[in-house]
Amino acid sequence: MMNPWRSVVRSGAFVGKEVTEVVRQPRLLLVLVLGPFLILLLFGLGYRDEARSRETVFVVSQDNPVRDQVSEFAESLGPQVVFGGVTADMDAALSRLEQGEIDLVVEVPDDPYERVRADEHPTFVLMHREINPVQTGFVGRLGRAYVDEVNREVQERIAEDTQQRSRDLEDEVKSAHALALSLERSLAARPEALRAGELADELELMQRGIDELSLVKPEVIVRPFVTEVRNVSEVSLTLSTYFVPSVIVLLLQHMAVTFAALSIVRDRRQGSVELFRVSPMTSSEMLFGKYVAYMILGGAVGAVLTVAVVYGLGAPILGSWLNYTLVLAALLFASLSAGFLISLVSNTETQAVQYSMLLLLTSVFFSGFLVILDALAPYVRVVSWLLPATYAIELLREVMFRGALFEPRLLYVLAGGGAVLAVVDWLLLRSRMSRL
Amino acid sequence: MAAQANGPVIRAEHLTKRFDGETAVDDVSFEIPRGAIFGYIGPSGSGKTTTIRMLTGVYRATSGSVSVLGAEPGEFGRAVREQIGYMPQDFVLYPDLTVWENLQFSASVYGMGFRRSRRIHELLEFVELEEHRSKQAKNISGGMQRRLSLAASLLHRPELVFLDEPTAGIDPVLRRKFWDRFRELQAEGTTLFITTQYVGETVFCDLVGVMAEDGRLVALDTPDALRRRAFGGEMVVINLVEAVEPRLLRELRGMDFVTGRVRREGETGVHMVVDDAATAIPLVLEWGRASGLQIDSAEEYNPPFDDVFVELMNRSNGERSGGES
Repeated sequence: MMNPWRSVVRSGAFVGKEVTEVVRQPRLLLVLVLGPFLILLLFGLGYRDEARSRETVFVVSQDNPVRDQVSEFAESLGPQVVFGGVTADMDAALSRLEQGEIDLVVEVPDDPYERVRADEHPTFVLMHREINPVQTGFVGRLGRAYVDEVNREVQERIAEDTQQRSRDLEDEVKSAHALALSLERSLAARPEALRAGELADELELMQRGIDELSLVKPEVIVRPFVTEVRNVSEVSLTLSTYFVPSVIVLLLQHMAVTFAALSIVRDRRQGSVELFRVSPMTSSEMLFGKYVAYMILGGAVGAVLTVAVVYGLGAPILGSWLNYTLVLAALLFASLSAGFLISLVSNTETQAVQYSMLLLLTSVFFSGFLVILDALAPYVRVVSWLLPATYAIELLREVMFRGALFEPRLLYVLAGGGAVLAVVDWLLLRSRMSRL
Repeated sequence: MAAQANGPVIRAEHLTKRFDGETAVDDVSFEIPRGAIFGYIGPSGSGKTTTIRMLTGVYRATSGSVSVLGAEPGEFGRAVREQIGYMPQDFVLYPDLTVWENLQFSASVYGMGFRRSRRIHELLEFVELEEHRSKQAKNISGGMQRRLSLAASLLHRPELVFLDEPTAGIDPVLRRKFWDRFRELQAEGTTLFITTQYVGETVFCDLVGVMAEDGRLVALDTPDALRRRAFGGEMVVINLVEAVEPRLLRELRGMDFVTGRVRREGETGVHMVVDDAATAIPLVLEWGRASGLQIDSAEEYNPPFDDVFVELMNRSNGERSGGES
């Protein structure tokens, strides 16, 4: 007859064994807990949310009418463009670019105004040697910003000229208006007096229009609307703080997966499973003991990391601690299930580590850690939603930064997925423990 | 279900195990009575470990039937498993745990309650590891690791213990101590199934199974009976004062009490196989007096089990090649 107490004792064998084996490796614990915290801290201290400065040389022909204005345009873009001078020698500029002395060469179009009058688009050509697709995209954006700036400057100057011309016309319109009034009076009772009055009214309207045009600044005429962004969220996060939940999740997932992945495969490689096959130990007792052991270890690491990010980095937790704990527990459970699955399909410890690293790499790219999920094609997002980290990152961001679990379904799916995997693990382990 | 009190603890009938067509154990049958020490000897690769694995339920037999403690190994329930102790050939405990922690782990695996410290101390004394209990298993010698494995297999006071080469790699003094301990366990009522490559250890067993390299059980008997079977009877050695002449050997071969071979050993010695040494020795002395020989000594000779084993193997190979031809 089954004795439940003995089952607890048998599972307890693994709780004690696994915890002792890990705790006996202080360096491992230090790396697990302190390592990620220090990396995050360094990232927070060292990360500058600024675009890279690019030394830029402008190639402009000697007789180009905008030659004197290119540096002004460049400076208006801020620190991302460092004015590297103007030259008329394209080959020399390209040579410097190829040797890495400068970052960008801008070819300014010849006869820009003539071309505009000829109904053409004068083209600024930006030449660079970036290999990073992100930076290449950034150069494109920089080019658009530069042209926008040039266009704006040109439009402002046109508006200024127009205002000046209007002011020049104002006196003449005033005189014409006075003349029209005088004519209206002298024609008194004659039918033409009415026509003179209408002319005076028209000239008055024209004068008001000129006055209004002179009152508006040229930059307002060119760019009448501007935007202002207001965040109604309760927190304002730095980039490094925003990454806190993702880092905690990825670290705990990787730790749980690796520990679990090595656990059973090590028992099998070492031959201990043969001992368990002969003993009264069942696969469910063994698996349960290992779950409890690694939940305790993962929980301890999670607690220390939480304290470190909250008190060390000032990361907020706006939601309840219960929800926070539930998310971490579900993440650990699902990750352990995935790790045990790896352990049961691996033949060697090396294989188990490789599979764990693959899972980590997949999580880095597809869990929403690096790029938001919406940036991924729908069929790739299927991969994302197979990863425990995807659910946990979403959930932890909600709990920490929005103050509630707005998507509790994600928590149920995370825990439920872990449970399904746990059943698969149990069936596989039972099969491994059965007779050969 | 426990085995019947008077029935055999283990019964194996025509047990065979093949791996990918290769026969590891070939049609082995034996019965082991309760409270016996069963020695299972044979060269490396002869199927000793495979047999143990079939008896403990690790392997499924390709054919044949097994009953251990009254149950078929594939159907072992918890109650039967709790009565079995198993020490595998390799060290399979945890190198990062201390001696004490490994024993705690093993005790938990067998569901032993928290009042287990006394028993662990007893076992540590038994295997002489008490003073090493705080050392990590990876930091103790191979011999100590084997003793630790032995202690782990005995913690839960099993009724039946399988020990797979427990004395391998252990110095002779300690080996002797191990066998003393096994005798103590036997006295407590434990049945022991022990494999060994040390043929000399057979003498400590009640029943011995001898395996050939091809996985056959070539002999199964008590140590004395095996010795007798190997040489065709008991052995008597006589030493003469003078050199042994060929004529004397021929005469001896014609005597009624001589049942096997007669062989000269050195200048003055003669080894002969007789039916019963106690009966034969006075007859030898009588024959010597009648023949005018001066016999310095005549006594029973127990050949070492290495010789017994070699003889049994030769006989087995001879019978086999004879059968094949």
